[in-house]
Amino acid sequence: MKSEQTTPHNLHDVFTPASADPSLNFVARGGTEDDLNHYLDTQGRPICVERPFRCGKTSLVLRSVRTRYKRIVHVVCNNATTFDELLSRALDELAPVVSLVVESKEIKTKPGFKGAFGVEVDLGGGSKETLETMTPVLQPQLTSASVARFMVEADAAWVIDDAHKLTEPEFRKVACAMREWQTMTFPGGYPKMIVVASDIGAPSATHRLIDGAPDLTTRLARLGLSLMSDSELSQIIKRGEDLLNIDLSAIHHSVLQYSFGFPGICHDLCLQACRAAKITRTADNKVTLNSAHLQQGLKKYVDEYAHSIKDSFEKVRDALSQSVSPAFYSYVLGKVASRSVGEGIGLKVLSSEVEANLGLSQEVVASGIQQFFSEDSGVLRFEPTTKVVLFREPLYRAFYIQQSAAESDEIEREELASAFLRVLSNEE
Amino acid sequence: MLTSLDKELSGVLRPLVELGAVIRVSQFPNSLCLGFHYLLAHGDGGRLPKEGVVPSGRIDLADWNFPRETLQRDKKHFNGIYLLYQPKGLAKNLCSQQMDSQSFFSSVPVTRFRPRYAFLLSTPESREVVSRSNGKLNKAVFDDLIARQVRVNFQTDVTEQAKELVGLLATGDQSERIRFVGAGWPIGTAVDDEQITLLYYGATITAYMRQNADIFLALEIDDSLVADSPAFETHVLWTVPRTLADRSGVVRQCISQYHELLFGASAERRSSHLFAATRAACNEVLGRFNPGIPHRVLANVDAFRTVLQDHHSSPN
Repeated sequence: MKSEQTTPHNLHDVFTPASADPSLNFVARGGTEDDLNHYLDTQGRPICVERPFRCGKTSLVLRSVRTRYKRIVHVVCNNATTFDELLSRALDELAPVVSLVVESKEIKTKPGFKGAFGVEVDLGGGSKETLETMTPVLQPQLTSASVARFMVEADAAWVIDDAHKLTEPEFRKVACAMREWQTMTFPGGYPKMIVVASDIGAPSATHRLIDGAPDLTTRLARLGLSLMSDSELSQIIKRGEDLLNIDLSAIHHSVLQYSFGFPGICHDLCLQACRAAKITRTADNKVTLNSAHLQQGLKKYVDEYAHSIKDSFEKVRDALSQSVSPAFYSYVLGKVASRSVGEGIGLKVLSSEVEANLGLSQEVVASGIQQFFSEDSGVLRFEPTTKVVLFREPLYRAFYIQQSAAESDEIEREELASAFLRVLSNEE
Repeated sequence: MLTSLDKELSGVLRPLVELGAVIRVSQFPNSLCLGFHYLLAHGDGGRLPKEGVVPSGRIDLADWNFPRETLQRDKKHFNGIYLLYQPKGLAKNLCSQQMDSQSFFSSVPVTRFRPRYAFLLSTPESREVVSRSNGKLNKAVFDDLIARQVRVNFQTDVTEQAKELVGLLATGDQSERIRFVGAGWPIGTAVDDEQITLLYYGATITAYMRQNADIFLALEIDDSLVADSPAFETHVLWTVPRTLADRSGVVRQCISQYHELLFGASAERRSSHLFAATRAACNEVLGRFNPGIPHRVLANVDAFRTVLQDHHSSPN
């Protein structure tokens, strides 16, 4: 029987691991969402949202901004992005709504050709037609103040995403612009800037902003989005079940377990499990997924979608293979993974356990463990203050456990156990 | 992951699915096996059934120590076929008490439980007790303790069997200084000059205490001590409505055959791998429904098989 919903949906619209805007399957984030909305509505409060990679920051921000502004200028940074580029990209996005002149010229087009400003032009195969292109009346001055004015005129908010990737000088410019915007008002309102950044080492984006513009100390609204709870992740799974008319109950617990609180991973695992079950859109008759689908999906996720992390693990394994047996790699990672995310394991304890269990000398163990800490591709880190060894980031721990599960029968075991538990607790 | 043994065992139980039998299992590995394989028997070809295929209440846990309460709770199922694990004595009593004009009760012996060990928390006093008794639980231990005016607390999750054991080891006078204090896991009772706590548990906790010999000192229980005791002969008791009395033979055959196969497989070390799925499912339940029991005590397939092998022998 089909579920209550009547509109069929595509799988990729329901489980959206890479989309910053999961409109169909979005889970509200309670207090943080309320705070974000409050600060969006408050003049003079620029916003910085941070916390772990893939915890749903961008989705939350875009969703809230969309309810309050006509437009979102969403610019994603990388290591080479400069502040001037941020300004021009913002302007590019705003350009169609800034005063324009239109000139005509004759061109040859192909089907589906995209014109300036992303305007789709589909005029039939290779026909000779007229295309309107648009050019700004005046070349606007590329200053943060002028962008602020355009934003207000366009009823837009500026979301600077992945800001942690900016180099320090460029980050300082963002901080100064944020401070400048904080006091600005225009006839149409006040400009709003939201910086989104992941926690990748110290100092945090908030601290960097305040270092760059100390006046922000009391004005910057700092929001930390935590990883999702099991009940929040469960909502993603359940909504997916309803929208696609599928039954994920047999793998529900395992999906939660291997998502480690990351909504992006939860979407990904559900998506891959559905692909393994050949589900592409809402099913006519309910389809039940089992552990074999998740096992296949997890393997796919580990092999293909987490490839950059996988590369880091492979580099460590290759480096170690020169000096120690493969057991060293598994033993060390298994020990660190057995501790909770922030807990880690004391370096001394780890070293002595490896020495005792693998029968290796202190020197060999010390040099082997160092291979895990490589700055560019290491998978573990050493916390000098507490002298504890942790995974480089929570996602690395998640990956290691996911990879281990993908290569074992753990998921199937869990499916059997949870089915038995469900039957035994099935109240009449 | 499901093995040929799982398929065989669930296949044996298939006629019970067709009869719509309701099964109650206890919180012990051998009993949970029946529940798990009965679940599989509801699926196609011994595979895990889809969600909702097993009717609500068909398989459930029953407290081994409170059979009357369980039967009272489950009376509504007596209009169909209903099965429950119980020791021989209680099974026979219950059969005769519950039998009425509407229902027919019967039982079949499926295993003889071998208690193997009782334990003491490791303290200087208890080490002395173990040393004086050469590591055996026998009459001399009780004579020694009672002579020294020590009170004995019997902490157990198998009450009927514990009482039987005390009856076999202590005289009537001595019994007055022995008291049963329930399961009470994890243990908190101190051992001192005036009192000592004997820990006497079913297979799972016994396995855990054996694995932690630095905390728990084992006192061996000779099999011959309980060889003839009806409290250690485990039966599956069932009821069928009079109208279905002719099906009782089917139930008997399924249950007997199931346990013969189960314990037959557990007797072979090389069969350990066949218990992979059963261990995974049952161990999780042992941990979930007994939060006091250290989780995943039966850490691998061989540990699981060994528990079945060590604590069970043929009832005949």
